[in-house]
Amino acid sequence: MSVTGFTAGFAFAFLLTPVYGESPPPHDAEGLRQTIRSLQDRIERLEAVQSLRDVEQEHEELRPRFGLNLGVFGDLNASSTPRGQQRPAFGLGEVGLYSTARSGDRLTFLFEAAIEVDEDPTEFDLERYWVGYAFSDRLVVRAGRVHTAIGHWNRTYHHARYFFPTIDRPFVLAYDWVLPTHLVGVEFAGTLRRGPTSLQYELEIGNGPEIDTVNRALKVTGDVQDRARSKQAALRIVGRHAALPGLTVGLSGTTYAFDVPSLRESVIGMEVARSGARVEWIAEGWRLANPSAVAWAGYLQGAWKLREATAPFARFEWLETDAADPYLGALNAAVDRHQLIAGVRHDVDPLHSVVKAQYRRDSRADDHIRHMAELQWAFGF
Amino acid sequence: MVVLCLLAALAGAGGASAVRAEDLAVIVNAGGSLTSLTLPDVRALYLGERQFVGPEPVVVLHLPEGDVKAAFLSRAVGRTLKEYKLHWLQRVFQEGATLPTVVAGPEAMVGVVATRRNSVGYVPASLVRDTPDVKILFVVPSP
Repeated sequence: MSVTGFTAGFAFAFLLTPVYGESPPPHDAEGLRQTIRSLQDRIERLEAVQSLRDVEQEHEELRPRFGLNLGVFGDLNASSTPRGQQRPAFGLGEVGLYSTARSGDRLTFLFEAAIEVDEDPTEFDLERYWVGYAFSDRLVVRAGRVHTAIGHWNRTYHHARYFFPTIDRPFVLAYDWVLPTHLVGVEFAGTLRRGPTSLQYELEIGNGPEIDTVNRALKVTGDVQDRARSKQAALRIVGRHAALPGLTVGLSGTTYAFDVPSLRESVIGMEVARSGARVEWIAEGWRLANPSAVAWAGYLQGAWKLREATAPFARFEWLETDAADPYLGALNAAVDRHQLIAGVRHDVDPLHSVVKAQYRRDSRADDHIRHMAELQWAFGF
Repeated sequence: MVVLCLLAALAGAGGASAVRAEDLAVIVNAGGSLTSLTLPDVRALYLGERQFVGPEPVVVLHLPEGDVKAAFLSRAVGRTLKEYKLHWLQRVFQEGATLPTVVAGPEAMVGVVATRRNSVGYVPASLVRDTPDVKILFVVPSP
């Protein structure tokens, strides 16, 4: 027997364990021939199965893929005396539907819609809707409706309160209020790496927002057309260093203009955040400026894990304004406001459901201080 | 060739340096462009913070849930299994990220890495040796 044949036989001897179980493999030539034929049969059967899977894979690629991973998020709330109401109330939060799809390693799609059932009539809003192509980690291009790159919270947390460390967003980041939280346009994003340092950037160009003077709300225009005076641009840059795991430091800025009132608003933001195994904290601040006035807003938030599933949290938020600010005045927001919340979040199911309880102290310069107790049961499937 | 390298490892052939069975070897395709990755690079890939090396997408591979996967997540990625799942749940929702691929077991892991360029995986260090197809990037020792 040649060296090659001996080596092959030696190797096949070890492959024989699933064939012979506890029995020792044969060493005579006839036994080895039978074993080789048996293994050849197995290989042919496996190749047949694999070829069938290849064909099924081809057909699988032709089947529609939207909805294969359709998810839902929602929340149910109770509050003692919400601002604007006279008595304790239960409330249905948004029901969020989302789905993603992917083709190959580069083309992705995401869709997120929110059903606001406490509105009359019930509203169905398309919150995020984009298609993206990844050239590399340095450049991903997305087109559609995205969350504006104006800081950590707005880019990290979307409409699923299940993921929020607290019951709700910081009030300055409320939708349709003083900061444009959505944008319809094009986004260029990526991460640049050099040694232990990485720099993540997000550059967005889109239709400008407009002010709904009837409801005194900031609306994202251009889901269909751009009625704003000019396009909106936003840029966010976030730095990380390997020596400081979990810590991010970033800057952001955005600018947009209105016809009514006639002004250009510019927002500059700063963010610092750290997420660790036990403690998570976020600090964000914004300077909102137009030719007539400057306002300052921000929040400081901390959460820490007492046990595996339980995390107390606290947050202080502020909005310092000029009463004559035409931008904030048009949004009924030119009033100093401070808010303090403290509560606890507990995992009912680590991946699907949380309950939160919090105390909120809401202070507005034009109203008396409100003290509220709030409960939330948030979920995702 | 893959089977031979597994067999040689099991038989203790080749005079390879002794490593404890609990150690984990991070492996890549020897002919791909991942042969100089560091632990922080691997961590970023398994967290979805990085998807490419240069212009090429990376195939990130996992073992099924079990002690080996839990040990890898703890030592190399810095997450418990629950934290890891939550991280990816948020990542899928946040940016439509694709979950890493789960293979059947260590033998399948070595087989896939050997045949897929730009793939990265992990196996108990005792089950693998450097071969023309598979390169051990580094060993994550047991604590």
